Amino acid sequence: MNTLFKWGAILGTTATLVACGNGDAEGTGSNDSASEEFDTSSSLHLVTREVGSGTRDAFAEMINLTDGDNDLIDPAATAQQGTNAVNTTVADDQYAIGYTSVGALNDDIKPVQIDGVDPTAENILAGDYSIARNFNVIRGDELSEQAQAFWDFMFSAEGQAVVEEVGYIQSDTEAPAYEGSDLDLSGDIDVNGSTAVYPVVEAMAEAFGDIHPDVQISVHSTGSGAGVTSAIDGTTDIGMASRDLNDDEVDQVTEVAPIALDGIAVIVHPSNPLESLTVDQVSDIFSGNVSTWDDVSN
Amino acid sequence: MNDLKEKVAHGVFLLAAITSILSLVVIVIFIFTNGLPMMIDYGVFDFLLGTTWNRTTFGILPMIVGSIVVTIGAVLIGVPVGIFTAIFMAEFCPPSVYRFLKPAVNLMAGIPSILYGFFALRIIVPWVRDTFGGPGNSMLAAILLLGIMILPTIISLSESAIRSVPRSYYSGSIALGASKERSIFAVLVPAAKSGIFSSVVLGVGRAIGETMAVVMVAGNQPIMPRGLTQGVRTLTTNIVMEMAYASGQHRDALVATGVVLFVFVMLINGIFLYIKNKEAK
Repeated sequence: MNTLFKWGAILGTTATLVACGNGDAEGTGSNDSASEEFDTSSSLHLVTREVGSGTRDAFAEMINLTDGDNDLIDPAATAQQGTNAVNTTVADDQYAIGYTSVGALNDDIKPVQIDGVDPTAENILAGDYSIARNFNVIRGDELSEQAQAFWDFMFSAEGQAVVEEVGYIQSDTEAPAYEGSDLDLSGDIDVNGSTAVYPVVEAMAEAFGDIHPDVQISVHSTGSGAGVTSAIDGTTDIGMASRDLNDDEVDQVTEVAPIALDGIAVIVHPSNPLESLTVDQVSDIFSGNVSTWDDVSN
Repeated sequence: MNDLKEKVAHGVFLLAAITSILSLVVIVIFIFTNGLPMMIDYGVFDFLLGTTWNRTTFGILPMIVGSIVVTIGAVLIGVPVGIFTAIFMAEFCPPSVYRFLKPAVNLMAGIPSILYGFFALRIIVPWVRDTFGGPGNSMLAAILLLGIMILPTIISLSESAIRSVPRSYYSGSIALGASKERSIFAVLVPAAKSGIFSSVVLGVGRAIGETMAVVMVAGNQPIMPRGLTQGVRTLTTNIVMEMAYASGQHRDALVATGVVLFVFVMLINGIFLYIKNKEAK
């Protein structure tokens, strides 16, 4: 009995090691061939953001998948925390379909046309691309002098130039020049909120720091919900949200304004032959009513 | 003078003890006062046995089942590997290998969980996807990851349990004519079984509480687990996924998820203490 046990142990361990070794080899092998052929009979692997994410809320709203407080995005979709996690998941999985900020698109993922329109800045500004949204900044109470200056800066020509640099779309292409350059400012500014708006404001904060080196701006990405809440309760100077505020929230804030526009792109793996979808198709896919890629291409 | 010194020292130690106890008490009070009213308000059974989770409906059965299944899976992988490694390290390992193996195991225990998560995301997830199909971010990926993560706990504690068995047991067994292997498996390991078992219990505790690594690979769907290659959401990942956005009852529901998790951890620690006490007798 004991001898049996011992041999079992040795065999078990060896089997595990061998299995791992083989698996790795197969893994790389099939990965290479995978990028060449796309099997349309495979099921779709939906990738979504977590509940509460501004991108998810905006996306669900724009593809008509909302039902009161909850969205109708298939609960069986893989939920990923953050824009990059979604991008990576789709870039890695041949049969995945997800959605991400147009500003966060990269070469590893392929954006799909919506109603034949590419998700580009021009198309979004022109209003042709239908899945687009505002990047809002929010202020609750009185702003400190330095925070007020930063607020003005975001809506100035200089601030709007940054929006373009980081790959988003200016909310105001004819913004006035920044007038506060001569002010002698110092102190801290706290900004927090949407993970999607974060890179824009962070880049603006850097540009602002070049003008006012004594001002310390800390920008935190905590999510749109947290951005709105903290701007209302005063724990931050400026909140960021990648969705429009609901009536309840608008009542509680002093001002909310868009600093940039962003489109949400539906993304697939680069090997996916899919070119274009209608909003209804996107809606069908993300509510879980489409099971295989065959159903999409037809 | 000496008397005063004694008193001061006594005070310092007492203060230290009170600080740690107090923080525990505060945590317990916080979690329960925030979570319990929500559970009662919402209905304890609806909360614990409900299978739908969204912004207005809070049923955490999928996450309870998810946590339990993932933990059992991790134990099935981690315990045999861990215990055999411990036996190897305690009894078979040549000193030259042990010199590297021991620090390696300790290092494994010190690797931050987010790094385990990265590793799993880049290695385990694609492997699961290519080998078994499905999206890759799955229960199996989480199980494999946790199976590895609980190894150092199980190895270190099991090894010291085996080493703490009096050497005379082993010598006696050898003297009676048993082989080395037989002495180890029939005498040493059974004598160390309560220590080994408590290492398993602590491993379970680590597996059920792990958050950051799991959230990266598990898929995190708030629905009943549908199979090894499909995604799963655990109690911990449920909290970390949504805490940043939640407000109102949704937030309380997440704290109440913490209550359930806390009860699980208390159960596990209770079992651990019970075994320890039995061992002491």
